[in-house]
Amino acid sequence: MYALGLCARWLHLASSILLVGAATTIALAGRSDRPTARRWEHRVLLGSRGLALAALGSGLIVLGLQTALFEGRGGAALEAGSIARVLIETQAGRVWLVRFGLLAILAAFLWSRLHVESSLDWRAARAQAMLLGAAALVPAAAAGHAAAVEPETARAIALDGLHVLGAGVWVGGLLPLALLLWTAAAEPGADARPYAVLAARRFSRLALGVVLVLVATGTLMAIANVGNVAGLVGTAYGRLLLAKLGLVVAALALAAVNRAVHLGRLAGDGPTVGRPAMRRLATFLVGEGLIALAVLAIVATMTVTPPARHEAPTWPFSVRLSFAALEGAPAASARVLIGSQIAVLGLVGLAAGLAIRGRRLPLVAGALVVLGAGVGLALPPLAVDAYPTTYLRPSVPYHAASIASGATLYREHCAACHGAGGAGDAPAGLRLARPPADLRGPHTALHTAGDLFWWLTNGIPEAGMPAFGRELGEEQRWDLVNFLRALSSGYSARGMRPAIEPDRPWLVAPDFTFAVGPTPPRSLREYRGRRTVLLVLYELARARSRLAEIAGRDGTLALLGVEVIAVPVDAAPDAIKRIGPEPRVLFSVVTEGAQAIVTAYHLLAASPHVEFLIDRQGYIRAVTRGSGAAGDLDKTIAEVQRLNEERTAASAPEEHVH
Amino acid sequence: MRSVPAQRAILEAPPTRVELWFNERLEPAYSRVSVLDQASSRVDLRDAAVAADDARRLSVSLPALAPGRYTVTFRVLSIDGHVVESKLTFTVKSWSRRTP
Repeated sequence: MYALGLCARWLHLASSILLVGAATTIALAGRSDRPTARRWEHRVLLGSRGLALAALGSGLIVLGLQTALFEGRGGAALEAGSIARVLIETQAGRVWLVRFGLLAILAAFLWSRLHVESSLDWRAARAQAMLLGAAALVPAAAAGHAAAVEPETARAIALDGLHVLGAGVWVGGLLPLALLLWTAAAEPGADARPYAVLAARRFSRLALGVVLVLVATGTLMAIANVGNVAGLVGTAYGRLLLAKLGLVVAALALAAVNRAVHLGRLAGDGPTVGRPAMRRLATFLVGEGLIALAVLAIVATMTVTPPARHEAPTWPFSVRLSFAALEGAPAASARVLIGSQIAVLGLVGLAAGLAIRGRRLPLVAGALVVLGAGVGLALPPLAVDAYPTTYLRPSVPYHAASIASGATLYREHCAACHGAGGAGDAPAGLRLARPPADLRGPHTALHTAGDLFWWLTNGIPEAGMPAFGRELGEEQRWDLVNFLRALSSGYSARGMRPAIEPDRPWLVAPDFTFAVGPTPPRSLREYRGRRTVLLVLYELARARSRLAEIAGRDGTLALLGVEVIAVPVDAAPDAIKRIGPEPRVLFSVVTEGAQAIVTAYHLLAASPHVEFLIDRQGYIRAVTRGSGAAGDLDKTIAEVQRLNEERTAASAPEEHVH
Repeated sequence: MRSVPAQRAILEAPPTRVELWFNERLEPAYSRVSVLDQASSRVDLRDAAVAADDARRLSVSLPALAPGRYTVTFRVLSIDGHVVESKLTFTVKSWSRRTP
């Protein structure tokens, strides 16, 4: 089923693209009265008829298989009702309808017997085939991965549309042009030789521009769909893209030879230079065309492969490069700086060597040596150990409940060696081959979540750290990773004060879910982009006056867009009742979910009474550690006003999950 | 994706609905979610729908749930034609629900 689907998609894509290219090439070559040229045009038109039928037939198979996938039943592929539902109710179906309709019109147009004797008629007919082909091809972008790119969906669809259109013009033109050159190079085709040479030159000029468009749109789309190096080398989608790029480079190399060598010789002396060049160019074009068809097979596979940005990458190397490795290492930093400068020198030399015509070889060779030396000097200090899971994103979000669960697991499984507070000072740990790391330190934050996950799963044998992969489930290990992240963040946040640092958000507020009395549960995330949150962790006995102060300024806080969420540290389910008639509870008092919030946020700042100011992007910006006595709420309000004045909204914390 | 109640949440009060947020917009016609109790019988109110104002949110209402463990199963179709199928669980601890 999968193989049939791929074949159908490939056939559909390839025929749709070749239709555009065939029409463009005819239009590009122009009208001619030479018999050979007309014969060629007729053959390309006959081929287009076949292509249109292939596109329609394979399109039907693609639709049937898509219906089966959407409905979750193989039988649905042949049921009219199910297919109609897909066509009417899904974007993919509606796009299919539009495209199939245009393809059908194009097929009818190609099969109709037109008499195009006048030049105007000819141009109208060829332009119509070209436009119909393009119109049937481009909307495919709205049913592919581009449609799911956010934000700027329209931009992604436009880029993708331009990309496939470019592919149509370039890839689709290769085979018709090869046919023309081959025919013209033969003895009886002599009358069409000037026509063929002209067509080849026009195509070459157009193709150069189109390739630039393809590279630009392809790069932008790869950034949107793959995102980073880990996605490129560590996911199925990324590797398909790499394979595609490899083939594209091969096709471009052939194209470069065509431009540099063959094209100039076409007009040379017929028997000795021109015709052999024509034949070689035709052969090379066929080679390019075959490579392009292979590229389309990869593209067809990519359309049914989830894009890398939603997949868990498996890092294939044992090292990665990280600038974080240079922190606190001045000697290494100097080495990287010097090495990078030498490498830049090498690059400049390389550019000069390629630009200057004389003495090219020694210059380029020398520049490559310098470049290599620079890279060799600069890279080693940047290399840090990496594991297959290094770029894995946590499958469990950075959430208070996960952190709290991680805290419990830590006490049960880790504290014996790493110490209750994570300092690595417990007696059992000190007896190990290598004493356990201080988990509070910033270096914990320098490792990726995936690194920590790898060590938890597989242990660190040489240090004596055991593996927990069998003992703890995947979610539990991620809970521990989230706990460690909070622990380390808390250590870094020791210096956080009641005053915000303008435009410097860095401490991510763990998400949490809470309920106030009988109302349905809400989460911190829901306030993102809407409200600033003042999270108050209070102990009722000592915080009455502070709560009264907050209740008293209820109107001002609401006006400034502040949501107050008060969390009793004893996590009493009857917290609202306990507060009694005074102060009036004019803010959210958490009756459910408090335990996890207190556990998680006390890791970030432990104090009997503590208040966190969380900005609209979900970053903790200020921490007030107090006793719960009524203080100066005006100060907090002033900080909120400063937050409201910030212009540059930081991007929301990365919390990608799928 | 992300949900309320969260995966593995332990709730004091039964939730009135389950909400799921996805990374991509969903096709409403092919996005389903159901809530099952421990005996695998369906307990939700069968009104699962993709939010009109946010095509990435899928939610379903619940009746007053008895304490116990519940499984949320979903199968959604994203706008680019990929099917995602998975499930999550939550637990309702005790009956402390008051009528709002």
